[in-house]
Amino acid sequence: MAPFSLPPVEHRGLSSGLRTSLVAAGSIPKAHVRLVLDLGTVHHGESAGWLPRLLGDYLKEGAGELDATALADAVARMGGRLAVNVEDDTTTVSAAVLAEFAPDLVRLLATVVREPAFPASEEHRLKADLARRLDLAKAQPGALATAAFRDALYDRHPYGRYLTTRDVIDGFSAAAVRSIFEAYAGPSKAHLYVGGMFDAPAVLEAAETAFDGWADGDAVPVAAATPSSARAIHLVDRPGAEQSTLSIGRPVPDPTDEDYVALAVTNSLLGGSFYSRITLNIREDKGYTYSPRSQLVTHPGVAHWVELADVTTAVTGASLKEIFGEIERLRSEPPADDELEGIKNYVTGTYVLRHATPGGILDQLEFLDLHGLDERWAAAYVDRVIEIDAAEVQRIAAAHLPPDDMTIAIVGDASAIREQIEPFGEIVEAKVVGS
Amino acid sequence: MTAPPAFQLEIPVEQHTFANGLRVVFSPDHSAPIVTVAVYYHVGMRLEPRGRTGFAHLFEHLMFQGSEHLGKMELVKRVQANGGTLNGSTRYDFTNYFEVLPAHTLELALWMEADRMRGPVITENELDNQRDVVKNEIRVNVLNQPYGGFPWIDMAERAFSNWHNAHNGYGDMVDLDAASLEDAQAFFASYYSPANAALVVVGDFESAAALDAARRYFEDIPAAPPPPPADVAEPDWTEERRFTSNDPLASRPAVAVSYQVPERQTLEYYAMGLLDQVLLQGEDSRLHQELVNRRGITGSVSGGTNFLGNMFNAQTPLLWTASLIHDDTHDTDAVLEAIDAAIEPVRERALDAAQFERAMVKARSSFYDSLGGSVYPGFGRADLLASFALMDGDATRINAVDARFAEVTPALVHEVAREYLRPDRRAVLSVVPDAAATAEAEVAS
Repeated sequence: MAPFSLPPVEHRGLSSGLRTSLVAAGSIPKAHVRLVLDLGTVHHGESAGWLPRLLGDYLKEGAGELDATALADAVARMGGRLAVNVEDDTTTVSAAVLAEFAPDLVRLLATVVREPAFPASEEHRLKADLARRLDLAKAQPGALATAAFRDALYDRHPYGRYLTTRDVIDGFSAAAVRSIFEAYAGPSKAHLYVGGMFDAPAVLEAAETAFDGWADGDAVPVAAATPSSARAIHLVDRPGAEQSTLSIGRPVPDPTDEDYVALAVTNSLLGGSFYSRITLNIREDKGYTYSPRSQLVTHPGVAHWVELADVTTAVTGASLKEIFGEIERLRSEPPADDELEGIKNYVTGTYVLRHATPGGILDQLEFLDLHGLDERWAAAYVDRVIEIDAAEVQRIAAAHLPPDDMTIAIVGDASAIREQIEPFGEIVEAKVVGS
Repeated sequence: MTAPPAFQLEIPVEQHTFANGLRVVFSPDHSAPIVTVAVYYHVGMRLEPRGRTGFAHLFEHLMFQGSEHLGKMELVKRVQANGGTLNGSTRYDFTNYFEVLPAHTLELALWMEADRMRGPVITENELDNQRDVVKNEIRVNVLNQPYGGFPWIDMAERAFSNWHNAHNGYGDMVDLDAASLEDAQAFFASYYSPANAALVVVGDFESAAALDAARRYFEDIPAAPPPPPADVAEPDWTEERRFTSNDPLASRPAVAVSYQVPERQTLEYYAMGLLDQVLLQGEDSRLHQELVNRRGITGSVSGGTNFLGNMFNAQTPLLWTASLIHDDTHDTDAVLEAIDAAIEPVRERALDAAQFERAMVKARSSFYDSLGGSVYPGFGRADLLASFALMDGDATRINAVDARFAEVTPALVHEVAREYLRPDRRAVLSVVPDAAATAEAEVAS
């Protein structure tokens, strides 16, 4: 295979201190512009992270001279829609517009973050919308399983507060939103990414002018998370459920650790791809489930591995047995060379595929920046994967995936599954914030 | 009017028809060292046999279970081991299978797709296994989720009157249990002939060599007559109909409203595409502004012309549907009153120049997203090329989309709104959450 090289990325610091990264990519005449702020649900722990979600909704309610309607119209005239995504560690304000409008969009995004209106008149409506979203999340088995699992791993750290309560939301205000935004938004804690097709000099000129004079707030860093895991089953009762929704995992090294790339390969082999062991077993052999998958979920400085599956209620215990059996098998014997070779090719090949769309490239750049990695890390990724041998995969599984301290969260019909799952750990009532 | 855009898109399209009737479409794109290979069969949920609902989808699963030279899951293994990824899906009018791979593995992908075009080679074991997998797919996506069938299954079942359009394409568990290997053979023989399929290759390849390889692997697959056309016609609706569904897992009420749309590829259909942009797509849309910003009934309104895709990759009859989840502080009538407040003005008078121009820009941008928005590079383009090839007989229609929209006038949009968005030609579906259903039952008894 031809050696892989990253698409050329132009990195610039603006006079305001805002970092920018521009990458020409693809053949579709659209520009993808993302302004990523270091302000996530992690940055407001006592609200269980949902105050930043209200902030995300509030950013669409107008800025500068534009009210909410005028703002939506302005982005629509460029062929885009304003999206504000509030994640654990970041808030991303973005849109994808027809290529020729890229500089206009950069100017508009600058207005959104520099002059947000946060109108008090919309507080009641936005809080009602947020309460409805909370209510809908609490009806979804996947959200409940994540909440129980996160609570067990991260406890009172904001990463462990996946849901919130109506009371907490009732206490939110436009003033509180403005206050966290002013503390956290600023050029030294933000990054502008532009990918796709666009006029790069015009975009840079627009960014330089539009962000000139933007000042930092006085945010304080959040406490680092210290995840821990102990073997127990955190059960959320969902009477009558046809399936049990499983989350099984534990903390693992984060992307800056020297084991991380080998861990990514191990994950793909164990449960992270269609032709992985757990999927072949509980889906293609047993038919217990449709979409089992394992993932590495990363935050700055911490990460966890988790296997997710929605399995037929009657085979909940049998599914646990097979999942733990596959984990144990990988810990006790190295994978065959051809199996590992196939997975390594999958990991390197899909790494190339992820760099073949503007959205994929920007995701990769964001990943590097979030974890403080540089482009040498990205460029060396493929070579690092190629070096991994079967003994290393076994060592990784042995060191980082011991089943005897894995957290198990299950959302399912307690009366139907209790007996099945008892052999796999002490059953405790799950804590789901807001339930 | 505005100046022509500085960035233009002209998609290369090379079309061939092999002796066995297989349509072949190539579209080179050298922007990344990868290829996308897609095979589309012109059969989907609409055409499965009665008594075998869900069969088109179950059969899609069986196509991963082995063919003459590929054992169970071996295609998946080889795609992954060559650095690629893959998927398949079942829609109303087609079933697709595709791989995205490093460019140098194109020939392998063509060989594997040709092998399974000759038919699945499977036993009861594979059928039983995938029956269980499919049942779990239905559980995780529909039965065990709040609003699981809302609105795509629940609305179609109630609003359509032609069985082909109305039945649940995910399938009834009883029908899935009854599916047999004989059914699979018969379904394959009827619908999976080369003449009922299109092969599309997008990406970094040389056409001449790719055509040689495609001929080598596909052209001697035996020809078979294409299936007889099915009558999927839907009578025009003549009154407003209201339906309810009880959802024991839902926590809030919801409403969906559906209207019939003009026939695919007519100019009226493109006018409906513009109305979709004006009324429903994006937060500037009239429905979002009315129901979210002005009235606070909901946090978002979603929907479009095709529950399982976009306006380009399905045939009509289709439903243009808007749906929302709301609080019990409003009832269905209040929601409908707000929907009417958003829609009626575009039926009363034509869009002004600025509104029309904005809709055109949004439509173009949305079309570009259909081409490039997938996480699978090249797949969006392959999807539309295959759709135009199978449904309209000409993949070059992909380059006529802008021109078709440009032919639409504000007067035509107005006419389509008046004719198709009449309150007396719509279906309304209200979701009653469990708690409310129980209360109602108590009052009734």
